[in-house]
Amino acid sequence: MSTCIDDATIIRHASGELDPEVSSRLESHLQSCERCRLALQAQRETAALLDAWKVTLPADLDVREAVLTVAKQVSPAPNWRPMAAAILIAAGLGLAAGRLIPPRTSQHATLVEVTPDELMERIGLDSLPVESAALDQVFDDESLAEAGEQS
Amino acid sequence: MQQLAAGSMSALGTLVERHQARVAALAYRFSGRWDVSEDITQEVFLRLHQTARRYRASAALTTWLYRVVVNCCLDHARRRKPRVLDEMTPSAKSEPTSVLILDERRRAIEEAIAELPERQRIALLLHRFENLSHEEIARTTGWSASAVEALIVRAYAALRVRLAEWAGSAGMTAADNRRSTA
Repeated sequence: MSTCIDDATIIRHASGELDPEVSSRLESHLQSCERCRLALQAQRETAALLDAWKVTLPADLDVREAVLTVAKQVSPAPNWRPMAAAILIAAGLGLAAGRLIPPRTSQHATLVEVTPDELMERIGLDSLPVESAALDQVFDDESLAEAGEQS
Repeated sequence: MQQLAAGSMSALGTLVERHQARVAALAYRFSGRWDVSEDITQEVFLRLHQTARRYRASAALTTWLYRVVVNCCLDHARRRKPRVLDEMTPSAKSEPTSVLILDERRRAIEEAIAELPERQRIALLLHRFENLSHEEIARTTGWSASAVEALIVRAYAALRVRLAEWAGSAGMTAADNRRSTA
């Protein structure tokens, strides 16, 4: 290895993360490169300092009972995927059912054949004054044809 | 894990017994306080319980565990403001010098780590104290491999400078450090 070793590789080498073959090539370079040797030494010293930092848990630190108490009160979050799938399937079945089964007519609706005059009488328009000319203007064939083109 | 996913309290209790020491130690190193560490540890196991159904057997349990720990630590740090370390118990005057030096060194390390940005801190703790490789840290945290590499490089560099300053002010040499850690 002719070029110096980068910091990330120094760290990996110091912590034993490199493949043996790569480490071996690195060691060859270190024999002739003081800069990299010093960098590796500094990394090892820092690591040794950190490793000397021992943590002793307090004797009364035990979260088991607290965790179990809360966990019993709170049930796990439901897995929404099966529920969502069920809803989608039900919706799909509902759509399919809607197309296969004809709509049921209301039991109150009845089809009655009426003449226009009878309809006018039923809704109370037969007593209103009507200017036949105006009606003629609205309902003549020509205006109806124009209305059809505009729609 | 299957039992935990099924809601077994016994399985949850076993999980806590087996892993709470490791989780609490990591949480303490991250936060610097035992009361905070205890809060984080509880939160970790409650989250594990809540999300057990999402655990895939193809993933290592420890990877999943560490991911939850990392998330809880970072969430806790975002909620809390200034980080105040636990006060050290004053050493008695009769304590030998070596013990005092060890106490001061421990304090210096804790303060140096506390000064690291949160992501650098968690990456360093996972690397140094949980012995996770760069790749394992990337898998655990979901960060890219290059991001993990950069975080670890910067963390160690910052600690090197900070601890060298402390050693210089304490009149200690590298040889002194090696002797006291041996």
